[in-house]
Amino acid sequence: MAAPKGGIFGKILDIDLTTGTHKVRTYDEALARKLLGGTGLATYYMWKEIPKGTDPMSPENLLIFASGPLCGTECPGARLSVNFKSPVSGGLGNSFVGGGFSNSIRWAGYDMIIMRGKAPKLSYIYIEDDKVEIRDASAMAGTDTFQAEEMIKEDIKNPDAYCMVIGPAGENLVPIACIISERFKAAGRLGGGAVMGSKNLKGVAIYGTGYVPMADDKGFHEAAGRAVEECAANDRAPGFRQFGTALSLDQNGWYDTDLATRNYQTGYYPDVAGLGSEESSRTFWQKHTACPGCQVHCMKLGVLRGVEKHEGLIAEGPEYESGVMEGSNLGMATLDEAMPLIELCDAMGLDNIGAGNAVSFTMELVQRGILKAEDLDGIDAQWGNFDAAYQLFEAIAHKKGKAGELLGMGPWAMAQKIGGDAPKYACVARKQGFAAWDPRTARGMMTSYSLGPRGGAHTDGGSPKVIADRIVGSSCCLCYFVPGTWGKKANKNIIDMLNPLCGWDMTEAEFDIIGRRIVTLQRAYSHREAGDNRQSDMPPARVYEAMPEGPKAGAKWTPEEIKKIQDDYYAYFGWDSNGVPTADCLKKYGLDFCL
Amino acid sequence: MKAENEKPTVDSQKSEHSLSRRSFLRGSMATVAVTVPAAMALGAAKDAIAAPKAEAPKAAPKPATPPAKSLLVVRKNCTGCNSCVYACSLHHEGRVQPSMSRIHVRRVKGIVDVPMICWHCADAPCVEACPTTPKKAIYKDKESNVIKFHDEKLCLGIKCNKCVEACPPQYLRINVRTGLPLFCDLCGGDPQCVKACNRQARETGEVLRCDPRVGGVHRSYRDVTPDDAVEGLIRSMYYPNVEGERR
Repeated sequence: MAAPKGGIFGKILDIDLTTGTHKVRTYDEALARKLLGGTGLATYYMWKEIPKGTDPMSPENLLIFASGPLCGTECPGARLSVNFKSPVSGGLGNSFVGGGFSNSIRWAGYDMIIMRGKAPKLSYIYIEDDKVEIRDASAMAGTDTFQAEEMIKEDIKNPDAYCMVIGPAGENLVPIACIISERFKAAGRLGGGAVMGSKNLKGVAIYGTGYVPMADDKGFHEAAGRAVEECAANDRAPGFRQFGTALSLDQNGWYDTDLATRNYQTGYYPDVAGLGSEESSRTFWQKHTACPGCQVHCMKLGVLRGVEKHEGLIAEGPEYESGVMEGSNLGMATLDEAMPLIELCDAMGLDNIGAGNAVSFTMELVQRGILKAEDLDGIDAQWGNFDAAYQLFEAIAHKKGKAGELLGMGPWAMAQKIGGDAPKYACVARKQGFAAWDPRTARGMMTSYSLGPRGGAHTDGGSPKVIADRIVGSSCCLCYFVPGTWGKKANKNIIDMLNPLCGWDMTEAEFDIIGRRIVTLQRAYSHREAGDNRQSDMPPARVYEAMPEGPKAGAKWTPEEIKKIQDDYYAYFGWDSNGVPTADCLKKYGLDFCL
Repeated sequence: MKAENEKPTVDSQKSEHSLSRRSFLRGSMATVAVTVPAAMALGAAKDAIAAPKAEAPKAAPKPATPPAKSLLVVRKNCTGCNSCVYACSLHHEGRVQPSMSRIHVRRVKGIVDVPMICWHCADAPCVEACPTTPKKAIYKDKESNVIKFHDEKLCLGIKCNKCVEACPPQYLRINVRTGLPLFCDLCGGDPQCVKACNRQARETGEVLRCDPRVGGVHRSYRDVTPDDAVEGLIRSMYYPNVEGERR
């Protein structure tokens, strides 16, 4: 086995929670060059080590925190890739979170942490370089994510450690639970929190004192220095720095009309003025906050003042997604209403897109008379009813009553359980709820939702090429905002950094193949586990209905158009017409182990 | 492709100039004063003028800005991006390694970020605390205004830890490799943390700044510990939620 020249450690920390033991495993550099790290490498281990047909909530499922080759260096925008078999879709579970955790994995001397088994009692893991401890967390049972993180930091007496924790939702095994870092950052989608909860794992804290070795220090620092400068100097970045993703709220509500509103019934929502970046910067935001090493401090923190309920509530957002899912999609029109819901999701460890979906779907079912208040423990789930929404979110997090039990499943499973006309109104792609963009007007989102590796995710990319490029970014564990600021030079910049870092001679052509290879591997995995094919890629009924109002009224998808994007997508990656990777295709990408 | 490659260099030059426009002008005037007589003396106009021009940076011996003697910080503007930490360890260690940085940023309760820097205190409590006799291991260098080692062998390192404990802003850390404290040396008068911070703090307002004064900040300002700073920041930013807890 060739020792890595730099960039990667070739080391994986493998923790077995059942036995309380851990070991450091190694992997070959050739594998890293094929799959880079992050999502790519983690999917490889999921394929190999999660037995086919495993119940996502069983101890046999793996929870993988994967870091990428560029994390822990001065390359901006490091984030963590969280991988597991999803309790929501039954297929590929893959979610991302910013913050310092990913860098710290590298400074501690690993590329990836695999957690398997199930701890006998509620525990948390503390990793400091080569010291790994599984500690008792029974005192943290039922605590929200903020308390849990504070308690862990106090317990380990290290305020500089980074934590990933779950809240009550994860402990209660709610499928749409997420994992939270630094109080407000979420690895949100596909139910990572539930998987972590099923392992009796309340949190993971990490602190590393080391550094990432480089094959060619000088070459890397030059390339990375250039990349940092370009990121800081980009003319799109100031908007993001000043307003974050909320910048899109104002415009999308009335002009682009792709702001998901009332469970995707429309994309036109002029009331967004009460939620958008202008309103937020004037009345709510107090502070910009950034992930370590990033030039784009896109997160904003604020406090509610002079309000009836939740006076003094501190929250992060509104982001575009959270502002829509807890705002327009529930018919909320002010920050006083949306922010407590967003904060509640963060504190309870609920995926705020998934939970927003479940509640908006419920509200539509109430609107159409399919669900009644008595089905929801007497909660009057009407559009814009803040109290009802707050109660529903709490019920989901604590799996409380009929409402909590039902809504926590997420919209697809809810629709199956309710039956009748309900599935018609569930806006899901491959069993996961849509994110905050209405795909009728945000046309590219159709590809991201229905064809992207995960389903229902807004960050996968709007065309096959973008999806392949982004998955390479995700495998290097870069936030896609940072390559976004590099524009057309994004791939080149990543290659220019990877080559001196790892001592490779990668070309753009190889980079392109890596993207296709990882997307194909992910597809093979979700096909093996969830049977993903052309049929499951079909979007829900709503996208064939015309947009009812606004400047883009009438916008809709036709079955022919859907067929065309599917055909193009499958052809781009070389899959068969049913959307399944063929044996030839797998061989071509060097994925023989999938045969 | 070539044009794209050149662009960043032009940009970075621009930003350097805008940081110290006055000294840049002063520098270029000096260049002119030197080049013209030299060219006349040699009499070979074309070649001679071209040659000294190429060496223009050398002809300006004065640094672009007066060397920094201390640092200032506006804590409430800090985003916690750690650019300063990265730049510091990159400059001193040649790689990103926060545990070896001479500046730190602590995020508390997820809502405030407190940069911890060396104030370059006039009375240097770290030197005061150094217990070695007859000679202290460290001293304050008058010229550069930074703490230096008389002799590294005199330092008891992590076993002693007195300077670390005495440091009011609590920025001092122990070198994980050598066991010695890591003192801020102001990068020889041109702090890299300040440069990195300025690069992307346009929207937040200035956070870090070089100061040419030797005295450092007043004691009452300096003695604000990170914990005190957190309390003040939460109160000023998130009032009425002065504890920063959930509501």
